[in-house]
Amino acid sequence: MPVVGSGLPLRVQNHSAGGGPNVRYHHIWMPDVSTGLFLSNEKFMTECGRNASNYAGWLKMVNGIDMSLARGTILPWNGRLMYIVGSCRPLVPDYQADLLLYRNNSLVETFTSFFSSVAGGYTYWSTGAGAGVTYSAGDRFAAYVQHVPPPQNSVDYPLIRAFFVREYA
Amino acid sequence: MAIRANGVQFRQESPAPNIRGNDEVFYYLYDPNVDKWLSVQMETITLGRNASAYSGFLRSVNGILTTASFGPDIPHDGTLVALTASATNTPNNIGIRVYNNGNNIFQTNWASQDFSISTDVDFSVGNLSVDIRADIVPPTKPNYPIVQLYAKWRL
Repeated sequence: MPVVGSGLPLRVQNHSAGGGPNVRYHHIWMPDVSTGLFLSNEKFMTECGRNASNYAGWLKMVNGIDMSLARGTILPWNGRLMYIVGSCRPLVPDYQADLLLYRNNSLVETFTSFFSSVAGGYTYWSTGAGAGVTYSAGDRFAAYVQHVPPPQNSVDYPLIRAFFVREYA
Repeated sequence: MAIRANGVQFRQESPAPNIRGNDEVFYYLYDPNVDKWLSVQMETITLGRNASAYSGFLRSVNGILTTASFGPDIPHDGTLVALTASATNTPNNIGIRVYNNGNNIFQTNWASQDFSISTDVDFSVGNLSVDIRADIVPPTKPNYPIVQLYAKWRL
């Protein structure tokens, strides 16, 4: 049901889309004024990385589980990837690498030079990436680092955190 | 203080237990389906095991092995509202047991990797851990299992 408080329209409702009939919990949904979508107020995060220098390849989840194709965690609701933030610990001054995002074994988006010394910072943040990527309950995401020569070096010790929200549809 | 708007009740409260005084305040929403006040905010806890055909307690960041009485520390009382379990082999049998301060608070057996969004399991401040078992028939142990727990704070 829509709720209006201080001019802010909210929707408080449980969510059947993508979840079947057994959804119990009520959630607050906030309108995205740019898209008209109702997105959940709660975000949730998953992180992965690689404890290696000059690395290109799949990132790893908790306990070192490789996120190669057909791996990665399952997301339990329909929703959207809001953004990915990434950091690294560069050992050399010149590094550049793309971040490739896979959903259910298929490449869905390439974030060009996600890790890059060209950005001028010790740590590169990408706060807008991934805003358009949608997912359905049961989907799995995986992330891959792709070396972009030149310069000669790929990224050292990459660590990314992806923030998701649910979508009322 | 409960605020009612169009039949929806909110509360703005410090969590239980309150370890930060009035510094920490959450919004809670009354959910009649489970008759509980649960936070709008949700937390995610991820555990896994980088091994094939695995049974046993999962590991936390950097390979820290959890036990029934040792796992990621949880600062407030809460409720598990969803969980997912994935593996790399198909089919796989995943028996999941969740522990809170040494007590088994939840268990289920899934015939394959799956997720649940109707979980309603309370836990108390302390720690959470997850034990993976493959003791159902046929006992195909999961490869490289990852479990994610989704929790809301509970008043």
